Amino acid sequence: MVKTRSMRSTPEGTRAHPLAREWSSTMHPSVVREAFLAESIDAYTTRVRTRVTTGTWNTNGKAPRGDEDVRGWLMGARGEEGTPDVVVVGFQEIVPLHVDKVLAGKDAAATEAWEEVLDRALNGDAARQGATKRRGTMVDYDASYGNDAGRGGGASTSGTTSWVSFDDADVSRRAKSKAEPTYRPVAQKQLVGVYITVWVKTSLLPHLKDVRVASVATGFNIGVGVLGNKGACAVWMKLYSTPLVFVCSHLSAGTKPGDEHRRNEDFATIVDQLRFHPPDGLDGVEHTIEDAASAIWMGDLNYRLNATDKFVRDCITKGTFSQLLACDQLNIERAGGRVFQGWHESELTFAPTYKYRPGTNIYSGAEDADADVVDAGQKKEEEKKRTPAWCDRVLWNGDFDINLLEYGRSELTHSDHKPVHAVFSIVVRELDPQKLNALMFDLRRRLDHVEMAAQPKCAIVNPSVDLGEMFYSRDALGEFTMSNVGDVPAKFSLVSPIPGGPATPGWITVNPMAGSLLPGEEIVLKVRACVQGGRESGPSAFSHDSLSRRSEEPLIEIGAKPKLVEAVLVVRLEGGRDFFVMVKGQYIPCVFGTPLEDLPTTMFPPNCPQVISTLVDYVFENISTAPGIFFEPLDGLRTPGGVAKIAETLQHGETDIDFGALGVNVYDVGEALVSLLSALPRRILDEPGVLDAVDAMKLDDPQPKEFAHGLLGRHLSTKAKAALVHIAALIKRLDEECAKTGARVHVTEMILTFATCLFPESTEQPNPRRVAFIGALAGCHPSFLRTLRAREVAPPPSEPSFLPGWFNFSVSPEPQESTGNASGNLIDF
Amino acid sequence: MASNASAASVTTQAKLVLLGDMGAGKSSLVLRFVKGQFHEYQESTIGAAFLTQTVCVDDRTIKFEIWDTAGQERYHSLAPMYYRGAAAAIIVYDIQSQSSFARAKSWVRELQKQGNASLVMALAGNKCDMEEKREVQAEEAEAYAAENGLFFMETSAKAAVNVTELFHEIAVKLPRAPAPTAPGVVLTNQNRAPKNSQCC
Repeated sequence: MVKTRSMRSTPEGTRAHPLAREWSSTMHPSVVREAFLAESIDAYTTRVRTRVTTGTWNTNGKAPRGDEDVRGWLMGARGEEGTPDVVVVGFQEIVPLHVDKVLAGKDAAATEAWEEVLDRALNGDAARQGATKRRGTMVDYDASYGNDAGRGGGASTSGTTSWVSFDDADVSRRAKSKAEPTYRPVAQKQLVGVYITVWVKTSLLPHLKDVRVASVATGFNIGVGVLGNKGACAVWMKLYSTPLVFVCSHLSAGTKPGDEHRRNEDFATIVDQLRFHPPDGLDGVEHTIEDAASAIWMGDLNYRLNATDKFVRDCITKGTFSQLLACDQLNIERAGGRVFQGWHESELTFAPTYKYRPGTNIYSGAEDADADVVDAGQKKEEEKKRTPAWCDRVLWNGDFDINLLEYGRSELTHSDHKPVHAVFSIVVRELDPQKLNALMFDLRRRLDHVEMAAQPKCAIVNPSVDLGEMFYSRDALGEFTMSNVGDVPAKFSLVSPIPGGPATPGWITVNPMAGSLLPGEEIVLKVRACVQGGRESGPSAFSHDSLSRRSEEPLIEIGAKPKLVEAVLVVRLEGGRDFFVMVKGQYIPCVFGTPLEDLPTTMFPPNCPQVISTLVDYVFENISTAPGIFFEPLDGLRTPGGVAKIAETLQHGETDIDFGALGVNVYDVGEALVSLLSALPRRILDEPGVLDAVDAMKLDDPQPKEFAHGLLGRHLSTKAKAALVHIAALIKRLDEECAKTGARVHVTEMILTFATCLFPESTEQPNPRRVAFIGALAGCHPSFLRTLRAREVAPPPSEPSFLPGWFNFSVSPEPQESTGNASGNLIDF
Repeated sequence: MASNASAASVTTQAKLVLLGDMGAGKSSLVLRFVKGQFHEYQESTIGAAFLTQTVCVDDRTIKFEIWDTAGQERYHSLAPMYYRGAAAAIIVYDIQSQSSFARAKSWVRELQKQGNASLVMALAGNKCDMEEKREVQAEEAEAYAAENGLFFMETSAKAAVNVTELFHEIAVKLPRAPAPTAPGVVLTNQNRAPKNSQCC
């Protein structure tokens, strides 16, 4: 029924002052908002206690007598305690609800007459004839009323709201004049018989702002709109910073059972449709009743008593009308949650206010009616037999800063209703910007400290990891310890200094890479460094400072002494600091990772790097003893640590190596060859001219050997050419061996192995053109192209990356340590 | 006047990084600013410390997210992690050391190369309480700062000179954010904060 705004539904806001909730609505993050809402509103606002008198009266369509005195009703019997600061008066049936009046919408004459009565009551001698004159100094607050019908449409007519502004000069000029009125009317709104008018003490005017009015019609639906014979008028205003809303309504009449539900519906419609629009031409947000810090609802709500006429009248006669409270429809409906949910009403301690015989204090339809009543019209009225009821009520909404002081009725006899009044004490507040800023500053500072205190705190005992001497293809191990020395759990992870980059350089692995520590816990992070294979993890990785890429200079120099290599790992605590962990070691340079041009060459074949020649020749000569070399998974065939042993031996510059005596086999030598080729800082076929030509190759026809050799002649150095020719001879030999053993089907895989380590690293694996080029270069039987094309068309579903194991920096060089990753295999199938 | 209510409620977060030679006093400046403390023997920062501190400037609230980085040259290459995306940078040198001033200049050049035009750069000549051992004249640094569009202050974390002012001045110079769009902002009725346009 009543819309709940998100602002109000926030759990942290439900108990807070509405002003605080409003001010906090733009605060972020939520911890700030919550902390702010937990503060007392008194810390940053100035309180101003005001007395607000509200009155409601159904005047039965009768113009006031010239000397009508409403002081007793509005200024209160206990007026000595202080005069009201704000007087809000709601009328119903301020005009008779005849068809012509209803269609006319409003009747200035009727409202003016009552305004004059109010003026006299409030301002006494300072009252002037014609309250309109006083209001004339204001901007016409209701000029656009005539547009209502056009704007409303649909089921109801919503009143256009207007804005009242004050002429400061006018106010101050008045302050000097002798006959200064105590109260000034500040807002009025009429909807046929429903009329609300707000008068404010002149001294408060400077603190009054953003006055808006609105109305909702809930009367007869005549097809083109809803008539205003029933409905509500309302005023929105801010006193200091506090938004207040006053609603005056006349709800559906009717004494039949179930008529109270129509009144409930009227209430729901009014709450739902009442909109206080920002003044025309001014920026702002429209408001609803919900946005007010306090709202007061008065009017002829028309709820009756569910009791027999006799019982009601007896109770009233005996003065025990408290017995009637349980029969009151509004009480019943509210208790049932069907109307005015969240609103408050004080207990009724006065007699029902309806229906009286005008001019008397006698209820209409009383036993003695016939005897006393002379007027024929009145007699007819009395025949309607209205059971007395509390039609006229005042309720309020708001749980802060509003207190009811008095709820009662007045004995004026002008109408068939008695006027009802409710006096409230409302604390309005003025925001103190200095205090608010100081509070917010203090609050944020406190939150900063809370936040920092809540930061995870860890310590790294040895933030420098020395790996000692590092050899090619051999693990170097180290560790560091991190302990949680704070009071909260800490989450850590290694992070890359480069956005999207790897958390560690390719040659370093850390286990674990992330984790969490409870307070007092510690963890040992194992660092393993292994230099092996290609660019990411091989010696050439050192030539790029992976952190800044500042230096293009290789850090490893051939023939140089052991070289200090280092990397900085960044360990980040979630929500806390970063640690830098220095990992360093002495890399003992070796032929692996040395640029081709720096490798010593052989006499024969001329210009071929010695190490390549040595490895190729050994495999060449022993190929028949190593079936499956270069293409089959070789777990168990290779020797643990074989490559490292070979690397070490080659480093000594030996040319004639007895591999058998070294304890390694042909498979180890084969892997050492592939490893060596992969580890070259610049791969043999990493030449733009070659790469462009290969990429432009057509796959349909086998390229002749001459094409391949022509390319080498044009683009490669003598050394590279010599090495490649030597390798090509081995490939050719392998091709023939495969043919001999009937393993031709594997030729493609074998060629792929070489294509992978001779060409630069590529994202496309396998690259069929490169494979075809290597095949052509070696002069392999072109049948391998069929296999290649077959792969092209239908790649094996289980085909994993064709990156051989050594491309994966996390792979152990020791075959027996291999996991499912098939580490150390020449080709990872 | 009531508009301050809305301003005080909105916080702009600003990443701020401290760069400068080892021992120039970056950590001490932050510690003085955030906690009002000073340690004669401040441990060398191995890594990057993260602290937050809120300042209120005029009608704005700025929450500095401060990265206090290691000054050692060996960690130089990690600095981009911290100055990347920063709204402000304080480049600190020690007035007792020409070499730290030279280092500061190289940081300025590096930041200028990043091409982040909106980065607010401050040059802080720290340890200004050590007048008798001064090597870098304030005029020299002032002129350098003016040439390079930085603002310059001499500070002392030890004597609490110009520390709050330094951060405050940065906050003032930060470009005004268009609107708070940080997650967690309640955007419904964001104009509902008190306005003063209709004020008496």
